[in-house]
Amino acid sequence: MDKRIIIFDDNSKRRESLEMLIDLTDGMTCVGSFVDCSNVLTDIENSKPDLVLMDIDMPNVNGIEGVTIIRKKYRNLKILMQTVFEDDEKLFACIRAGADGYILKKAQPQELLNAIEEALKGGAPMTPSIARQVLRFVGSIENKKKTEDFNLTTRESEILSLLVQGLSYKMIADRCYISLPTVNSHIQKIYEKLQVHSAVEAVTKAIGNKIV
Amino acid sequence: MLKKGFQFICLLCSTYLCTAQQYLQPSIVAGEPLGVKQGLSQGMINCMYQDKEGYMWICTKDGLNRYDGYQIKIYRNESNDPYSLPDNYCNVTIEDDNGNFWVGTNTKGLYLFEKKTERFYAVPLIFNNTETLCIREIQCNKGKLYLRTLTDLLVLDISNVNIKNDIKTGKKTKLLFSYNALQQSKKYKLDITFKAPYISSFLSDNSIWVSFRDSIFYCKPNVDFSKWSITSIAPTSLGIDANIKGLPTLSLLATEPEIIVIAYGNKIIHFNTSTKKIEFTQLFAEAKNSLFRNNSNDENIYRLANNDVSIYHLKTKAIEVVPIKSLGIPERSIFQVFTSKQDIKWFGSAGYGIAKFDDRKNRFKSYIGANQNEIFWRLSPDYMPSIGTQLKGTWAVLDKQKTYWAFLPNNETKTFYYLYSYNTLTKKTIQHTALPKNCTGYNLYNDSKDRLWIYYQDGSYKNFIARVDKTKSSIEVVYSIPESIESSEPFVSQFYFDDNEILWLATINGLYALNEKNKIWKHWKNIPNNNNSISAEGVLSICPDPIAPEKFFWIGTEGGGVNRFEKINGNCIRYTEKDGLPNNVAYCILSDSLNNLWISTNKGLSCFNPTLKTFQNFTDEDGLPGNEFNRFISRYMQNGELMFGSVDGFVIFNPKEVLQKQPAAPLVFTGISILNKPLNWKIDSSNLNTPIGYAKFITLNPGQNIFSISFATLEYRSNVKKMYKYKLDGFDKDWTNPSSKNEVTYTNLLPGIYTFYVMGANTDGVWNEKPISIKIIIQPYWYQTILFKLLVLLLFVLSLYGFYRYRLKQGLKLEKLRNRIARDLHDEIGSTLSSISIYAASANKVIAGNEKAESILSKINAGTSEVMEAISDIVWAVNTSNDRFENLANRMRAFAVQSTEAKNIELQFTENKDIPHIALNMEQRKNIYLICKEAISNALKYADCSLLQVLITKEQQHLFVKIHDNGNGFAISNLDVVEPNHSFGGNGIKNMKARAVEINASLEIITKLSIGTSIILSIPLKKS
Repeated sequence: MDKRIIIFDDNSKRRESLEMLIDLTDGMTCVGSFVDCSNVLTDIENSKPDLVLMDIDMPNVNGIEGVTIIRKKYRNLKILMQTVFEDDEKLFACIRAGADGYILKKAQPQELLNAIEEALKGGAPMTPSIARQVLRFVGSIENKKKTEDFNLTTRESEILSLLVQGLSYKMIADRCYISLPTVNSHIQKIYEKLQVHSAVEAVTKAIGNKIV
Repeated sequence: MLKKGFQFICLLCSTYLCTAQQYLQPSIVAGEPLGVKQGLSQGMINCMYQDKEGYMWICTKDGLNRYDGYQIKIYRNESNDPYSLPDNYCNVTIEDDNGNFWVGTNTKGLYLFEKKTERFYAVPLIFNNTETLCIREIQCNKGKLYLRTLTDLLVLDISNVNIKNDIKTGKKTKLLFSYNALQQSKKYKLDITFKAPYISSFLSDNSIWVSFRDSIFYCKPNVDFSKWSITSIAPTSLGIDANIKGLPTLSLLATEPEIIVIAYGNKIIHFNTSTKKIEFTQLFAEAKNSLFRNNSNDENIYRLANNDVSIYHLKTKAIEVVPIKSLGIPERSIFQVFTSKQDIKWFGSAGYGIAKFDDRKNRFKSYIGANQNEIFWRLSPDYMPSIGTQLKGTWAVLDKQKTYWAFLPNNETKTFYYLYSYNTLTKKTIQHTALPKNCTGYNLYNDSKDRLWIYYQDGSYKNFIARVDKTKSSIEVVYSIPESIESSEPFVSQFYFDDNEILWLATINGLYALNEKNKIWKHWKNIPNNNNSISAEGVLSICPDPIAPEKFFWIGTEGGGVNRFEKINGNCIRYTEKDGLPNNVAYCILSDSLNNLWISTNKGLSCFNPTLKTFQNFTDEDGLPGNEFNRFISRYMQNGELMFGSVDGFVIFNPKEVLQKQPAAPLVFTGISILNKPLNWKIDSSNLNTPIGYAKFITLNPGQNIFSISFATLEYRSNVKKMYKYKLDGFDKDWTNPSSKNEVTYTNLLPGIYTFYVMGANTDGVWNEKPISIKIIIQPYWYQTILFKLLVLLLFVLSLYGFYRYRLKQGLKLEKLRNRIARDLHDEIGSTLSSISIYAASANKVIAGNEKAESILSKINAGTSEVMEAISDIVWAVNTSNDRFENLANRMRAFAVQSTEAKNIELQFTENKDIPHIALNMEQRKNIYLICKEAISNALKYADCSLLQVLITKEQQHLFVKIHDNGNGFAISNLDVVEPNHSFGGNGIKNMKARAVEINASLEIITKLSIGTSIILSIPLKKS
């Protein structure tokens, strides 16, 4: 069954091109594309997507607000942010709003499709550069928090510290001599333990609580 | 009987003759008036008193006066001030040992005056249901107040009264004695019906004597004053003559308590109460209507007669007569006396004010008269042996045989001068030789060898000195003085024969010295521009140096002051007005036994101490007859005193007596004026809250920028001679030169707190040890205060800052705008570009399998990718929020990670911890990034490496970026080959180098085949 994907982007060419690409890709189909998030809930209700591709800079209601609105109602809907810029502010805002991932527009189309697949599988796709930036940003303001005991295993701590260093999941897998799915499952467990919804948050919390 | 009578008459006659042959008496020292003209409230003087601080208080019928030597402050009753003097008619003031100041008024009773608040507090005297309201006299003795009221005599215990601690202490008086209560005999009670005269005396042994015409009552307390005894005594039993006119006044000598001194009529007797005998009688000159007075503060009895006051000194039993006629005070009007500190006598009259006499002026005995020659010889023989009648009238010289020598004119021609002598022992006058024809004789001199020298001038102004043989009455030898000058004054002023037998002549043409042995003349004159020569042309006097007469003598010059002449070389040390001499014309110089030199000038006498080099000057204010003295007229009197002659008369004095200095007198602040208006502390309490004499500080409000302070030394002598020097701390750098001005004005002082110090010297030049001071607080205008200034400064700083922030904001706004534009542009372009990429990918999917189409599409993809990358870089570089190195490192790492991950190359990206704090400008950022991007891209594309190392460090002032790969390396020669563009804006190594140059950085490429390549970029940093 094809996964249903909707697109929010104010640039018509990108919207249309993405639509085409998704439709041409096996396993996905584009069930809606919108200019902005003015009617985001209605749009989602009507289109019943599995994943949302959300542009950040849009008129009227922008992507960050859109994510906030969606998350209130749909806690499990996958949302991938799209943007041209690697800004700290907007990035952080999206993470806090609850986005599952973040991808640059300048990425290759194949990377984009990979990210969508990852997200649909439950991963938390994110370009390493962005991950690093998030860490850096978060690390600088959160290092005053007290530590709470989170009962992480050694392996989990190790993976978390590698995440902090900015290694990708693949690199972590190589480094730890484990497979990529194993990394994913470790990270899932870490999430649950840390009660977070994304890798970034996990890392943030780890740094914040001085676990690593 | 008859014989006795005859003898008696002779005695009378002789005493009359004796008294008729009066010797010349010094002129009476003039007193000074202090009356309404000088500011006194009224001329009816009820009491004069000097308090412990030194002020003189004068009670008149119209107010209480306080005199400080310069001005008078008058206290009067003010109807709306309950603390003002209750009754302008005040009778007496006195200060007790506790410092309480008592005032007795005529109709309102007894009051206490608090000086610090200038308030009068009532001391009610209510005894036996009667209130005592008229206080006539108060005496004070060891905690007891003796009052003579209108109708009684009272004694109060005031030992508990202390106004400093409690102003209601007036109530703490206790009545110890009331005469009327004690006196049983109705005839002698002093009630309101009693009209007969009486005199009460309060004696220092606490007894009270009341003298009536026929009876004297003696009241004596017991030890604790609880009981008094009263005894009636007949006057005759005290040695008083029967039926005297007037009533006796009684005093006690502190040293001989058994002796009562009784004054009445024209005499004073000392009566010994134990032996009941008169021990001593002193008679006064007859005078009608005289009365006796005594003060409790001195041991004198004053007899006030019509035209004079006689002062009887109890200790010495001597009488001093002070005539008061000269002051214009009518006869019989003096009825109060007071002697203040430093022996100044104050005589108060009934209606004509006060006459003040300064005894110290008697130190100089002035004999005023135009014809000094004549009156000099009328002095008592104590001064000089009497001169014969013929020589009277000339300035004769006395030799060692007690003979006077003088020139006298020829009676007929009046031009010829004869030499005469008068022997005081034989009383014979002898005429000696005449001078040569047409000569006029002037000065004579008796040298230490008792030889007589004369100076005379001939008709053609030639000058001669000659020695006279006294026994042969002829001229022994004549010397002609080398020069001569036409002048109306005698050529030779003075002779001096020194111990080396050189005869020195002070002349109007300098100094001459004659050595008789070799007949050599030496001459010293004034040499212009030579400060070692005599300071003026004419030399008027010579006096040997009192300490080293063999080496020096002193000369007085005409206009050049005084010189010390060194005999060996003729060097002169000059002393002039600049050094303290009152005037540069020094007529005569005499020395005294204290080794001082006394110099007469045109401005008085000067006493010069050659050791200390100080001058103490005296003028007519000190008792001299006048200030302009005469040349030639000075003498040593045989009793050790000195005489100088002036234009107005001559003066004789004892140097030791004159040089005695009185101790320093107290100095007080007397007033302050603000903006030329005297300050009344009661009205202008914002400036002063207590009388100026007791104030510690004065506050001046803004705008009160002119103020004057006046001060006074409380010495009631010549104000001209009192010197002051002052300093305003915070304004004056140092003490001012002493001057007699007693007021200082300051204008336009800056706000702040200053302290004003002033020191005073009395008329003898004795300075106080410590200055008095007062703080002056000058309040600033609101715009002068520090607070305001700080505020202004703050505002200024804030405005500067505000301006800076504004500019910054404007700049920021501009930047933000620029950034927004860039972003919007980027967004649009980027999105559209990415769509091209996506379309290409889509197309790829559609035409899957077509290789050619695939390659074309991949090229399209690559192209758009590059463009998007480049735009991203530009936008990043332009955004100034990225100017921290951190951002650059992040971006580089992001790129490196991205690139190496795709190719499975290990990446080691390290940076030093302290680097993020560097700030880079836009150009540096852009270029460093692009260089590194190029280097990394190259490594990944061509090096075929497995490890890429990026190391960023900071050393000294340089940033180092090292990019190392372990790949193939390349040959340097290949660098020149222009590679096709593989990154937008880069053109291989050439571009990298160009970019490095742009930011003043250096680029090093180290490559070794099969080993690897290192690219080292070093960027100089600005010193932070």
